[in-house]
Order: sequence, then C-alpha cells, then structure tokens
Amino acid sequence: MMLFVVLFPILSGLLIPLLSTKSGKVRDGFVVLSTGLTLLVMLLCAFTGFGSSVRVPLVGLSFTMDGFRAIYGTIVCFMWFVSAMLSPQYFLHHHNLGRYYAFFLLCQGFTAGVFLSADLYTTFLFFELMSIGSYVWVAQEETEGALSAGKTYLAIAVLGGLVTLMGLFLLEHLTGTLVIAQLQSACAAVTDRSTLWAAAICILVGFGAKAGMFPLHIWLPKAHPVAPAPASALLSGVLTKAGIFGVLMITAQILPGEHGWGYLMLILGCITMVLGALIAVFSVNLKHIFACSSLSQIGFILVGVSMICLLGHHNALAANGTVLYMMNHSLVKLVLFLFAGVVYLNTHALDLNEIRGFGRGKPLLHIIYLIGAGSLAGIPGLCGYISKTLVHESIVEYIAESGSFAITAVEWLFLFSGGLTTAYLTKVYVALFWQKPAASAHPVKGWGTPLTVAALCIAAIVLPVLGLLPHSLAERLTLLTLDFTGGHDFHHQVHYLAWVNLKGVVISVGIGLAVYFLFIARVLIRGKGDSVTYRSIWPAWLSLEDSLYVPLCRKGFRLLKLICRTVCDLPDAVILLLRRTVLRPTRETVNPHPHSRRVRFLSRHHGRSLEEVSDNLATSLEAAKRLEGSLSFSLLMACLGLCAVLVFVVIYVFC
Amino acid sequence: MLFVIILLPLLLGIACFFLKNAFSKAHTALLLTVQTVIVALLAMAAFSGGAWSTAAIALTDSLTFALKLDGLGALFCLLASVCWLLTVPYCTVYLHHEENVPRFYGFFFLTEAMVLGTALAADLVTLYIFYEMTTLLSAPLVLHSQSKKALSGASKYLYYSIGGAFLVLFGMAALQHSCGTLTFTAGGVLRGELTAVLPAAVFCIVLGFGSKAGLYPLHNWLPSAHPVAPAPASALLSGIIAKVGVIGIIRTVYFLVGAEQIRGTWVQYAWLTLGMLTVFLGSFMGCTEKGLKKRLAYSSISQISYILLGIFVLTPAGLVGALLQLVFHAIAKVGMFLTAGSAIYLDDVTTMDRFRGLGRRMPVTIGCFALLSLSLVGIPPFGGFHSKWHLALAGLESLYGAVRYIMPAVLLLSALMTAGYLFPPVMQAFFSGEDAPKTERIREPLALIVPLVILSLAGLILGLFPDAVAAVMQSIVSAIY
Repeated sequence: MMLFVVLFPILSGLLIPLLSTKSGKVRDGFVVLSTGLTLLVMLLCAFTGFGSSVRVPLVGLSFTMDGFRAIYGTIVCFMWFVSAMLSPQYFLHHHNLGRYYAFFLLCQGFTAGVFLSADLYTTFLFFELMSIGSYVWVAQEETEGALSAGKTYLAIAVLGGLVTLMGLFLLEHLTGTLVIAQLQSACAAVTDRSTLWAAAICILVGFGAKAGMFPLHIWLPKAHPVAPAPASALLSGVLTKAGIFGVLMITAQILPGEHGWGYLMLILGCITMVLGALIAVFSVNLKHIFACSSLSQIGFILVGVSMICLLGHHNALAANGTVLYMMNHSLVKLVLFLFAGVVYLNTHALDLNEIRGFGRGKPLLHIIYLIGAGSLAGIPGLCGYISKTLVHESIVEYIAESGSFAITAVEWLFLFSGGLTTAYLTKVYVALFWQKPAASAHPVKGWGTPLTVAALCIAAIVLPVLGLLPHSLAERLTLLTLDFTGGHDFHHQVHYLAWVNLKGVVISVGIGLAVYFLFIARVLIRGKGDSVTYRSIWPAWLSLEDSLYVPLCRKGFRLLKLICRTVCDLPDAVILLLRRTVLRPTRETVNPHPHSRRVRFLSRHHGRSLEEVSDNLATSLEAAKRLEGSLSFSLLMACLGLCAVLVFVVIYVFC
Repeated sequence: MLFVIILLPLLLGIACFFLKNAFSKAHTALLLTVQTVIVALLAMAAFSGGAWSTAAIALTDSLTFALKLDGLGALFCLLASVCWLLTVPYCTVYLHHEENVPRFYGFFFLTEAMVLGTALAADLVTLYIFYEMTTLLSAPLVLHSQSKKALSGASKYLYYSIGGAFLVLFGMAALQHSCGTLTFTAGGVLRGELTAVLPAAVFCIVLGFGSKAGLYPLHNWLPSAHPVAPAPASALLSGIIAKVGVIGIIRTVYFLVGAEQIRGTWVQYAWLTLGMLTVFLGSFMGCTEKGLKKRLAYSSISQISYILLGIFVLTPAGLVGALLQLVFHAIAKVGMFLTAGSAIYLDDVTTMDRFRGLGRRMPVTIGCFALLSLSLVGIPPFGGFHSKWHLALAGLESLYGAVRYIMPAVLLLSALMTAGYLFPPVMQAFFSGEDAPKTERIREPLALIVPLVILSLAGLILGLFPDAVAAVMQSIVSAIY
C-alpha cells in the first residue's frame, strides 16, 4: 500500500501524454481522480499500516510508516488533491499542459517517496527526482522571469544535491549504514567527530537549500512567484518541508544533542526568519509576498528545530511545536497560494497596484483569506496560534535554562518577525479587501467554478479545526512524531489561552500594526482614496544572487577557464613547439609552374589542359606535404618511445 | 568459436567494400543479421559458462597469439557488439548524407572485429596487435569526410594513439623481462619485490593505453577527432573504441602486474593525480565549449577517466565501480552522440546555442538526450548514479590521507559541471521561451530514434536494478582477485 502511494502517481504521470491527445476535460478529471485516490489510499495506509515498513528487493528502496511519515504523507496527498482541484480553472487558457500535468503527478510520487523513505538512499533518490521534476513547474510559463528563476532553481538544486551526496558518502563511510532508524546509534559510536560534522554540514546544504535556508534561499523568492499558483502552493507548502525533513533527520539522528549544531540552526534560522519577513514587507507582488513569507516561516521552523536540539530532554514544547508549525505552514500556504491563484485567474495580474480591491464584495473569499492569514500570523483559534505558542514557549524555556542574553534577543527577533508577518498580511488584506479597485480594472463577479471554491474551502477548513482542538487533535498528532524528531513527551499540559501565552500574540500583533501604520502606510503607500499606489523600494543591489554569487561565479569561471585551457592544451603546445623548431619540414613545396616540364609531360600523357594538370598536381603535392608532416610526427613519437627504451636500458644496466 | 566471433565482422567488413548499393534493403538486412549473429554467439559463449579459449600460436619463442573469453572480455564484447548492432540501423539513415558509404561500412565492421579481438586477447602481445589494428582501422572512420578538419583530426588521433602505443611497447619489453611471460593471469603474475624499473614500466603502459582512453596528457585528440567523424562513428569511438584503452589498462594492472603489488606506490598516486586532473579538466572544458559534439568529446575525456580512477583505486570495490561506469558511460555516450547526429541530420544543429526550441521540433530525440544526460550527470535512479556511488565509496574506503576525500569531491565537482554543460541545452530545448525561432515538428525517422530509445531506457532500467547489475560486476571482479 505504501508503494501504491509512491508508484501510482508516477504511473499516472506517465499516462498523461497518452491522455493529452484527447480533450482537456478527460485529463483534468483523470488528474483530480488520481490524486483523490492516492489521498484515500494514503489515509487507509496511515491507519492500517502504521509502524510497518516495506523493502523493495532488487531496486534497493525501503519505505516505512511512522507518525511523522503518516502525517506528512497525508499532507502531501491532501495538498496535491486540493491543488489538482484548482488546476482545471486556473489552466483554462494555458499551453503545454500535458507536460505540466505529467510532472505534477510524477512529483507527487517523488515527494511522497521522500517523506516515506526509510533510508537515506531512498530519500536522496526521490529528493533528486523531486528537485529536477519540479523544475518543470517553475519554468512552465516560459516567460523570461520563469526561465531565469528556473535556471537558479535547478542550479541550486543540482549543487545542493551533489553536496548532499558527498555527505551521504561520508556518512556511509563512517557508519556503514544509511537506514534512518539505525543512524542514531551508529553515529553515536563514531569517534571521528569532525568528519561526522562535515557529513552533517554537507547533507544540510542540499536539504537546507530545498528548505530555503539562508544563504541558499536565493532561488525561493524567484521561483515561487513565477510558477503556476497550484504549483507554487506545493513548492512552498511541501517541497520546502522535504528540506526540513532532512534537517530534522540530521538534528535528531546524526547529531542529537550537539549544541554547536543547535546554535548553527538558531543563527541561520534567525537570519532567514527576519530576512524573509523584511523583504515581504517591502514587496508589492502578491505571490512574491507569500514566497518571502515562506522564507520567513522556514526561519521560524528552523528556530524550532534548534530548540529541539538545544533543550535536550525538555524539548517537548519545541518538538511538538516545530512539527505543528510545519503542518500549519504547509496548509496555510496551500490556502494563500490558491487564493493568489484565484486572484490571478480573474485579473491576470499579481501586482498589488493592479489587483487592488479585488476582494471587495466576495465574502467567502474574504473569510478564506482571513483564516489563512490569521493562522499564519498566529491568531488564537487557528492552528498557527498553537504552533507559534509552542515554539515561543520553548524559546522562553531555553532562556530560563541558559540565562543567556543572546537567547532573549532571539525571542525578541521571533516576536518582531511575527509582527512583520502581521504587517505584510495586513498590507495585502487592506489592499485587496478594503481599497477601491483601480479605475482601469474590470469588475469581476463570480470568482471561481464550484470546483475552485470547493478546493479553497477544503484547504481552509483544516486550520480552524486544528486550532480549536489543540489537545484532542493537534497535540495527539504531533505526539506521534516524537520518534522522528527525537522529542520527549510533555511534562505538563499547556494552557493555550493563559495570559503568558496570549501575551506573545498581543506583542506580535502590536508590533505588526505599528509597522503597518507607521511604516507601510506612510512610506510604502503613496496617495489616498482611489489613487493609492504601492511603492517597491527594496534596493536591487541587496540581492545576494546578483551582487555576490553570480559575479563571483563569473570571475571564478573566467580564471579557471584560462588555467584549464592552458593545462589542457599544454601537450599540444609542446608538440607544436617541436614541430616549429626541431622537426620543421626542411623543404617547402612550391606550386608547380604551369609550364614546367613535369606539367607539360603529364598534360601530354593524359590529354588535359595545362592549368588542369597544374591544379591537380598542386592538390597532390599538398596532400603529400601533409603526409610528410604526419610521418615526421609519427617519427617524433617513435623517437619518444625509443628514448624511453634507452632510459630503461641505461637504468637497467647501471642499477 | 572465438575465432569465428572475430572472423565474422572481419569478413563482413571486407565484403562491405565490394557492395554496389549500400542502401538496399537486402544489404541492411544482411548487416543486421550478421551483427545479430555476432551478438548471439557472444551471448551464448558468455552465458554458457564454459571456458572458451584457443591454443596459443607461437609467433616467436616468447611472443604468442592466443584468445580467451573471461568475464571482463565477455562483458566488454557484449557491450561493444550490442552498441554496434544499435548503430547499424542508425547508419542506414544517417549515411544518406555521406559519400563512400561502402568504405565506411567496411572499416566500421573491421574496427568491430579488432575491438572484439582486443577484449578477447589472452596475452599482452595479442592485445597489443589488436589494439594497434583498432587504431589504424578506425582512423578512416574519422577521416571519412576527407575535409581538411577531418584530415587533421584523424592525424591527431593517429599521432596520439601511435605515440601511446610506443610507450606501451616500451613497458611491454620491461614487463616481459621481469615477469617472464605476458599471458594474462587473474591476480597478476608478479611475485616478490618490485624492482625500481617495473613501476615506471607499468606507469608507461598505463599512460600509453591512456592515450586511447583520453587520459591526461595524451587526451587532446578526442575533441579534434570526435566532432569530425560521422555521428555513428563518433558514437562508437567515444562509447566503445576509447574504452579499448581501458581494457588494456585493466589487463596490465590486474592480470599481469597484480593490483596488490603496486598499491600504495608512487605509481598509484601519480595515476590518481592524472585521473583526477583529467576528470576535472574534461568537465570544465566541456562547460566552456560551444560545439555540440566537441562538448560531448570533452565530456568523454572526463567520464572515461572516472573509469580509470576506479581502476587506479586498486581494490575490488574500485574495479566494480569502474566496470559499472564503463557500461553506463558507453550507453549514455553512444546515445548522446547519436542524438547529436540526429540533430545534425534533421535540423543541421551543430552548436549548443541552436538547441533553443529543439525539444518541440524533435521531442523523442531530445527527450532521450535528456534521459541520457540525467544518467551521465548521475541523478538517481539512472545508471550513472550507481557507478559514481560505487566509485566514490571505493575511494573513501581504500585510499589514504587526503586523497580519500579529494577523490569523491572531484567526482562530484565534475558531476556538477557535467550538469552545467548538459542541462542548459536540454532546458533551452524544451523551455524555449515565448519567442522560439522554429517550433514546427520534424518527422523523426524510426531508424534514428529506436536505437536512442533503447539506449536511454537501458540506462534507466539498469539503474532501477542496481544490486543485480552490481552483482554481475562483482562476480567478474571476484574472478580476477
């Protein structure tokens, strides 16, 4: 059954080219049914096959089903199903859909493979396939932006994948196993800690790059906005979590309890968290805002991961909070990117200045956005509140444990980033639902087909359900994942609505509103009433890719090119030098004079004109010259060989 | 039996010179049938499990001529003959552009006979004879178009190969002196202390055979010779003929000297250094090169040195990796050169920048190219991944000091650059942007795509069953040790 979840989407994906010749409706229906069926089987599998594992002989793949994998497998299938529901309307007038849908389904299988894998070999195999397969999503639209984003995406993916592979080599070399369940004991027995660290860092590069961790995040804000919305939802919601899956695996299995690792995650997490939120505040493109928001949220999750590592035996809050945070972010991004998809398919624009006021008079859409945004900002009653509270409390716990001022700073950064989250979500909210549409905008009445509406509703409904049942549902789910995250059980129940916990939200929202009214409304928004414009003032030179990575690569490439060309052609140069000096042809061939004796003789003999014979003779002489050159060349080589023999004889005789 | 296997393509080749109409159906059928018979005979011999060998014919007192079929020989012969079989139907369409087709076919099959002979040789002298003949008989394939470029490419090929062969000759003399015999014996014939000369002699032999395999410093003929040959010839040149050098190296190192004997000596480190340098140089030069076939030639330099690196590790694990890489590189590179040929034949595309939108025009061909490049880069589960996996782990486990880490790192760095020179054209071909120059589809003749599809699926399917494939290599290697 587990195999079905992985293989069925792959097979369906391979079937798509056959279906694409028929009408689009058949294909759309097939995609929705296929993803729906996979979801059902996955649910069945999660309930009945819990704790089982499968090993595929010959192929060498192995899968297992524990709490974390069951939950994330289900989320993967659920998100694919919901995105598939939005696709028919979103892609109504698009081209090259066969390719898109084929890779849509293929990647579902690959992603499920990553999350269900029981050993790192399987993980890596599907991870690479997923990375490369999802390139098609990014480049699907074939606009200039899409192609350039695709390039960055693939470059980072391939680079990350290969560095991870190096890490896997080292790990296999050190421990002799790649089975995830055996790694913890095997790694504990490793005495060569520095190599183990090197392995962990190498593995982190690939997974961290996929997660969007600083400084490998550069692809994320470029790639998410240009992909079609249903694909952006998956890129942002699920594929980044495949990266986090790897990071969690390192934290819990390879380097459990290593404080150095915890601090590394904490630093990278904090930078990612603040950076993403900051860019999102400045951005004016709806999907770009959501993409940067993903970046920032990944930072939050990494901070949670670091707390799992740092808190050791008291990491119940961190472990449960981190997994819940991941789930929350996946589901929220599904809602928000599908929402962006709806905006785009109605207005064909994503710039806040053009889509301003789109949501007015659409109560259902209004509610759906509020649920998604509220959960992301951590408003009580929604899933995001539970997860944010747990992670926040774990930081507070670590402050108490370590008493360090730096960790207090981290707490404030955490709250500040939460505030920025509120700020950019408010910016989008005000723009879309309160401001009047631009005069040129066409009024839109019905915003979606029933299938689209259903997709958005299904996606949104999960968040309040999880948020309103923290003890009986959310915690129960996350408790199942403790094996995987290396977490421990709660020592006492968490009172989510106690003032200590609510305080965090109040501070965050306070900061957020302050940022909105004091900064966004004053600096980034110009004009009033009908003529509001959003300014994009984020300086372009701050792009890490354009100002650092690309120039560095270019310079390095040029320098290497020079060196390599020299080294590569050195043997040729030596030979050429010899030809020009020692082995120069002694006799220059002269073109035969048309009236020379030779030519006249030949001309008489063959009965042809003098010029013709002269030309022919010139060609033959030319060829002879070449032959001579080649003979001399062979002789050169023969001499080399003979010299070698001589040296041998000399050594042999005298030694 | 072994004589029959070599004689069949030899006679076929000679017969081809006298053909009048090279493109008649009867002719194609004849070529295909004979080639299939060769493959079948080889398969029969390989899988029968019998010890096939011929009596040694004494040329002089110390020089003998003998054939023997062992695991390594069977693997390489089968690989070579299957690749030839796949290329024959391709030729029947592709050669419509060329002149002097009977001559091409003639040398084409003569070369096959010599390649098979090299793999079946039972001693170094026999191997050397076939090796030289391979060089001489494949040179006309490079020279085929008789253009100025072809002439210089072919002569460069000859210079380098013959120069290398002289190095081999020197080494052979030294080896004969130390070993007393040049007959291949599993595990090597050298026992006891090494003299000072012997490592140098072995080094020279490897350098000499390396000239065929594109090992630095005698590597530079590949980018000159491959692009000028007709596509089927360059496919086999890169996929199979260049690997004749690899066979020579394996035979010398594992069957004459003995891997244990030279493990840890300066020779091994010198080889490893040259190997890694070649791997890196080849990939990097591939990145800087614009011409399609030239880029593939540089890629061959780098990828064949992966095989050599595996051999130079001098452990069974390394050799398993080397044999895996031998098979998967042959599959990928034959396929890629055939793709390049199709692109030239159907749309006159010779440089990478003209790949834009090509995916729309010939989806099957470029699709196969994409699959093959995934394999060559080493993306799991494609075949190329498994060879890299084995090679890197073998390096990590059996080498000492920093080289242990440098070797896998170089392999991966090269894989990254391989992606750098293979993925962008594929991306451009399928994701051409809104203003693609031409998009109407070209009819791809069946004979041009069937070999490609078979090769690219073989790369994928063999990669899906890595344990089974590795077990085969393991059995071959365990027979050597």
